[in-house]
Amino acid sequence: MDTTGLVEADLVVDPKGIVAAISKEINVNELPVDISSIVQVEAGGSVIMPPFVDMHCHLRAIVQISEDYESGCRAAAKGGFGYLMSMPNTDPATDSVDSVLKARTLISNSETMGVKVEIASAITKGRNGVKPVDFESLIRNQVRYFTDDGSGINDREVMQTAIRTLEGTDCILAQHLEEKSAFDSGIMNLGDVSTKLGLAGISKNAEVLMLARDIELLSLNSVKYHAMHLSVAESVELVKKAKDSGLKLTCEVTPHHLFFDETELLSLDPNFKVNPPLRPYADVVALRQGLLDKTIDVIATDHAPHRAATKEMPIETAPFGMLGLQTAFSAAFTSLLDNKDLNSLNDCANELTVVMRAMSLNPRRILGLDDGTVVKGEKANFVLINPMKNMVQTHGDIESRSQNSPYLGRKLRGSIEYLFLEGESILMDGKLTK
Amino acid sequence: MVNFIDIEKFTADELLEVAELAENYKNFDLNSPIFLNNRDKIVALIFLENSTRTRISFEIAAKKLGLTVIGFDSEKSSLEKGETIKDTVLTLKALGVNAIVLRASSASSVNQVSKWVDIPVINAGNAMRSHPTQAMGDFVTIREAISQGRFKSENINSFDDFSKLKIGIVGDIIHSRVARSLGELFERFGAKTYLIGPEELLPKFDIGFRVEGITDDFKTCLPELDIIIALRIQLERLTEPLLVNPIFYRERYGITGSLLESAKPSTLFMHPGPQVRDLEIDSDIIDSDRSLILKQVENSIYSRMAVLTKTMGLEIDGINNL
Ligand SMILES: [Zn+2]
Repeated sequence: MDTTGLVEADLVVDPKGIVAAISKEINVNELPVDISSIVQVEAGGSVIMPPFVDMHCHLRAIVQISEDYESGCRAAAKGGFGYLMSMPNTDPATDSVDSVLKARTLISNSETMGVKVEIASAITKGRNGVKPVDFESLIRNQVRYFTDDGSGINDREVMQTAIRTLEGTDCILAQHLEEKSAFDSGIMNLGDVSTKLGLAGISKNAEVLMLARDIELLSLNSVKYHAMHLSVAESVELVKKAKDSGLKLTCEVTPHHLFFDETELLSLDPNFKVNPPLRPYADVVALRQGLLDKTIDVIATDHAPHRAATKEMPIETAPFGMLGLQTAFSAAFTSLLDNKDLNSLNDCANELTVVMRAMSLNPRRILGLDDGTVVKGEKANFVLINPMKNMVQTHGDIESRSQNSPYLGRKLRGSIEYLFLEGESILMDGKLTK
Repeated sequence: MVNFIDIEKFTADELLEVAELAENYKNFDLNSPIFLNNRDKIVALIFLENSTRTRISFEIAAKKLGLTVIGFDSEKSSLEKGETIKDTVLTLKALGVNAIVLRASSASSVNQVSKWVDIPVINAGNAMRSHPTQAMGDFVTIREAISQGRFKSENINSFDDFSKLKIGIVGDIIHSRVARSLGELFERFGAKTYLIGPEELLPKFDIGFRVEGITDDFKTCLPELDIIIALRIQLERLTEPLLVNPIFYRERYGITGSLLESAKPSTLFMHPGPQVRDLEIDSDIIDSDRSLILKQVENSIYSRMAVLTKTMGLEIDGINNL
């Protein structure tokens, strides 16, 4: 037998990209949690999961030098992703059928490493929060994700109109929670650290007030509402209450809000300038807890490339945003482990399950994708992770066209080793195959 | 000591070394020819925000050390033409500059510059964050006042008693880099810091150094204080117009003759400048022997000489053995 492309483990992919064998030697009954969806690969105690799905990334594209579909997809593949939702805050905004089709053409002309890229549309024309886009024609053209990400919908009426228009559809209405009056041209979280540094602060109310308003609107009309990048404890609390009261809404957290707190800004490094801002440690703990107790559904990257010259501007004028696709799994996994020692897979089975749920299973369910279960005899479609392997990101590792990763030089736990997409080997031993 | 950016990054011993060197310079014959040995060393003064006083003080300090000084103002430079700060400092480094003194309207620039170049970077004021050389000059001034017996009545007789000092910083605390650097310095040496001003100009969160008291009631706090440092109201940093009017401000927070009556006879006054006469502090107090303002100006030169010496590793014969 030709062994090219063969992944030797307890899981075997044949040269045609078909899963030839899966064995579950591990005694799942002995594990403290339900890991029915984790398939152990014996070599080194690795696990496989359905490829990750990122509901929130900025691939820029359309003549932007900070990133393009090719570089973005290479970064995604290295991070174990098979599907990306590309945000519409392009320049000009993606807010019409025309702009969506243009983006799709660009994608089909790009080498995306087998990673599927879907285009989201703005909610309002030009993302300026005033005039709603032509939802009907966009839906007719298979657009299913709407957000003004980068800005929130400040006008209550406009938000209500969007909710009513999308009520009863399978479209997602995703909100970047940012009440302008409380945002107050801030640079970082408003609190002790901003006061010490003398930097303008962003109140947590910028997020909480808009979330509370949206939840109130959702009690009047129901829509597939998704709250983006939660960053404060009060938001987690609001979502929990809303869910308990029977409202159907989903929400996400970014790996960086799980991993970092606001004290990183003491370095005054613009790479830590992100919106919503990094928050106090108490919020970080609440976000981790929200993920563990299933209040938070999704981990989404908010991958936001910015070229070096802009991140080398003074922190007051440098743009918000940080890279996240390549490091998403490891950053989230590391933060959930919270310095716990790992001796075997069993020690981290719970954290792995939580990350798999938030990075793969839930986004697949919310976006209406297949569940991605690895089945013998079908095309290999999985990401293989070695949870015991640590990594330290260097500039040379970065596939993005930008270098604004906040994780450079940090020890991250867990490593993406293999990625198969539709039977094609994309990543082998942590290296892209092309 | 590679860079000099924030007071809090240094130990008490390191800060004392700088202060003592400044004091040595003050007592040294600066016309001595040994200072000329530094002429081949170049200091670039990059001032991206206007500041006549600090700039001149640094220039005099560098010249007294015999260093070659080149000035670099944003209006006259290529920074105006879209060049980044990074390109500017890399160019200066390539041209052979040995140290950079930077004043910027951004809090981050001095930290960023210190990562881009491997020559000493000295902070001459970064937005509202720090003004460490001003704090060092003020430190030397207070040490001098102690050694001259100005606080004898309070049983503060030598620097060992520094921690007994009660120091009030009055006015626009929230926008003040001087307040932050002084607060960090006083914490290092155990003095008690009081923050006093109208509520809208006081910090609403932890400001990052130990504060003994924080109040909008100057009159009540005043009789306790040994030193009162009045700050400039930074109108250019106010995002909305000051709620308190000047007459009200002067009445409650101005250093006036009537206020002096409730202070201890030993209480001394300072102001980092530039002061608004008869608003923040009355003219006759500025000109009296209760004011240390001109001493602050003078000592800032020696402190900056000491900082340049320490960061640039200048070897000046004999100066440490005085
Ligand atoms: Zn956003």
